[in-house]
Amino acid sequence: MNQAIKQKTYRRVILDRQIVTDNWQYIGDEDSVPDQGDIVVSLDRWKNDQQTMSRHVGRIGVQLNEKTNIEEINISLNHIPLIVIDFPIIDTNKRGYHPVGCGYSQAYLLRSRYGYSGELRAIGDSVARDVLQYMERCGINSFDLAEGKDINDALKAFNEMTVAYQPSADKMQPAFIRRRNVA
Amino acid sequence: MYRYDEQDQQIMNERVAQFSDQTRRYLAGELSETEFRALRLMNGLYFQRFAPMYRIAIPYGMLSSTQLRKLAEIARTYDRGYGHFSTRQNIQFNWCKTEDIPTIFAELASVEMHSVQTSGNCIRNTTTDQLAGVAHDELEDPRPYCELIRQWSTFHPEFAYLPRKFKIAVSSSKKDRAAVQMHDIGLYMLENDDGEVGFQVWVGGGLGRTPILSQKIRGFLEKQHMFSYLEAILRVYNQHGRRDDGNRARIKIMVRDLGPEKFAELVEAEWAHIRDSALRLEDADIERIKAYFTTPDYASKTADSTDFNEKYNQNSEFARWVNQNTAEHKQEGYKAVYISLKAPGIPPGDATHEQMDLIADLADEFSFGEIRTTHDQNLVLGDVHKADLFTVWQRLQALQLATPNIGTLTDMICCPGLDFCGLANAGSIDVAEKLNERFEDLDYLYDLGELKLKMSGCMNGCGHHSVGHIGVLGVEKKGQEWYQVTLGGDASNDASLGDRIGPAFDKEGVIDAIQGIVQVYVDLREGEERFLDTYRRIGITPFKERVYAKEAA
Repeated sequence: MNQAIKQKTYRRVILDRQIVTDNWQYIGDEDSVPDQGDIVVSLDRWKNDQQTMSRHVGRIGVQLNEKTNIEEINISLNHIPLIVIDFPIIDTNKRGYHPVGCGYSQAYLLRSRYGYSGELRAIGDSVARDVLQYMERCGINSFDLAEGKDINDALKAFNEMTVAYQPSADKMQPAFIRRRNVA
Repeated sequence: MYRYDEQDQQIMNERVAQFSDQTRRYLAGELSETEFRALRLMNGLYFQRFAPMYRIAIPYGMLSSTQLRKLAEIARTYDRGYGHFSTRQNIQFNWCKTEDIPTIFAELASVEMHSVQTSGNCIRNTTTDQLAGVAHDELEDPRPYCELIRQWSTFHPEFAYLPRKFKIAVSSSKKDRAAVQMHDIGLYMLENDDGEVGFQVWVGGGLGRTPILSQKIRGFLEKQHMFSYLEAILRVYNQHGRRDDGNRARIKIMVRDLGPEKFAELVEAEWAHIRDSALRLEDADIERIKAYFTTPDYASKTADSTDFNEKYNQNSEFARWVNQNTAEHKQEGYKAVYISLKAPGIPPGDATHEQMDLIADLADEFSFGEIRTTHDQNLVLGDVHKADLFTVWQRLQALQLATPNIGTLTDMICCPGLDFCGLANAGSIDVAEKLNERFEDLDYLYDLGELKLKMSGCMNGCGHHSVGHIGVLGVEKKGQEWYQVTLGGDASNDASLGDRIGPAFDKEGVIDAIQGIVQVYVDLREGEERFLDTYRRIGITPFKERVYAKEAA
């Protein structure tokens, strides 16, 4: 069984708080693009390799990295069915391993400023139960958990905090605005 | 002071449940050390040299007597009977057990306290002037704005994993007692030409390895835009701040590298998108929070001050304490009382559970039930009537809390150093103790006047050495503890970073060096000059000559 099929058969993600089987294949910049199927390529490849992209039979998703400046993309991504945001954990020169958090702002901007309404997915080593609610508040609705994480356990994250202090890309009404209606 | 409403309480209760479960999963082996690290830090739990350190937030330094009693109870039940008040107006416990932390957290929530965002790469406790609301030189009480910032920044989903830690300070008085320019964001409250009160916005200050003072990026910001402007700064930083090198990740590096003008441009561009969003505050939102910070019923105390005047004239020890440890109050007949946590032989900032209980009692009896913490690691009773001062003094004295050294050389700021901290390179508590022995003559200390000595046990600068009039930095060289000395730093309005005097000293040598430095000041000062003024006038050379000549001799 080759890698692509194995991935296709077994991978599950959380989408809109439900566990679903995932059919997207992540294609690295050096990998060849399969003839068909739903694929995810880097934003650079998607922009620069239009020829391959236009030939492809199947849906194409785009993956951003931590350097992606949302405000400088200059092409609307709103028709893209899937945007993937990376949440790696990096070694910060003697200060230990830290989750990289620029993806939270990228997600917020895509959802609330640029009106993206498709599937917004988090991947990477820091995608685990204890950050899902933060990510969801910033507009992410799809979670491809870090390796070895229990997907059923992760579902518990969404109901942990039911009140928020600040507005974000979600529908939660912040405490200071709710108080306006109490007085 | 602020009280939780149902929403605040629910948020904190849910957080307690969440962190309890995270701790349970860690202890059960379901979360790795690395995974748990980010989670525990965001809830105030460090793993240190000997035991975990648990840091509890004291929002903008305000405590009720009930809360202080709860801290005393925690010290008694879960620690070794004492706590350490930090330079960020927080308190930390050094001997708690990891498995007890969720229980302690629940205890805190029961008195409307928490430990969230006291560590980790997120927005930390907002700090302010310890005399907020009672200072004679204040424009407007800054605490309602601090509380608004506390709420906006708590569990902000977008800014929980910033490049580095992030600190905000607010000051509203003529004299900056909150070290605003050493913060990632500093807000000075001021009045514009139309008589409207708003904020001047400073960004990019911070101590540590590369101490930098902040830069002004906006002259006037209307109150209703406070949230949106802060959010714009944070969003720019979260997207563009450096993450590759932990030592260059603070916003101060970004502001320095881009220049304050370019940085301000980015912020203003971001702000234009969100200034009129849901983040915009209505007057009523501000008034609702302001309503918690009521003026105490000052008129309830009508005792006249004849007795005070008599005692003040007759008892020189009492008079000395009044002169040194009490501050002017906006209300006639009242004083703010500094409780010195710098008694000789005690690590600066430490208080025992008995002391905390006593202070809570004094607050109830004499200061409307409130206590404040200061960034100099002391406590304050904000509203004490002059007629009560003698009793308060006597009762403080009984528990070694009336050392009349506020603002003097022995009222030093000091981090926990090598005795506790996992980062420290050198001891600081033992140096503080030796300094106390060397400078035990109170009259000499008073003669020296305002002299801020600040000491850190490592480059991270928790003891604010870079902005000490005299700064001491502990370093390690070939397995030995050495101390670098800087002169001329200052954390107030006219802030400056200290200049290094020369090669480092060993533990004995640094005490002699400081004595020599102080003697140069005594010899060369003019009139009423403070140490800092003399230094700024004569420069470092005379100090250098004295200190190193002495060594050579």
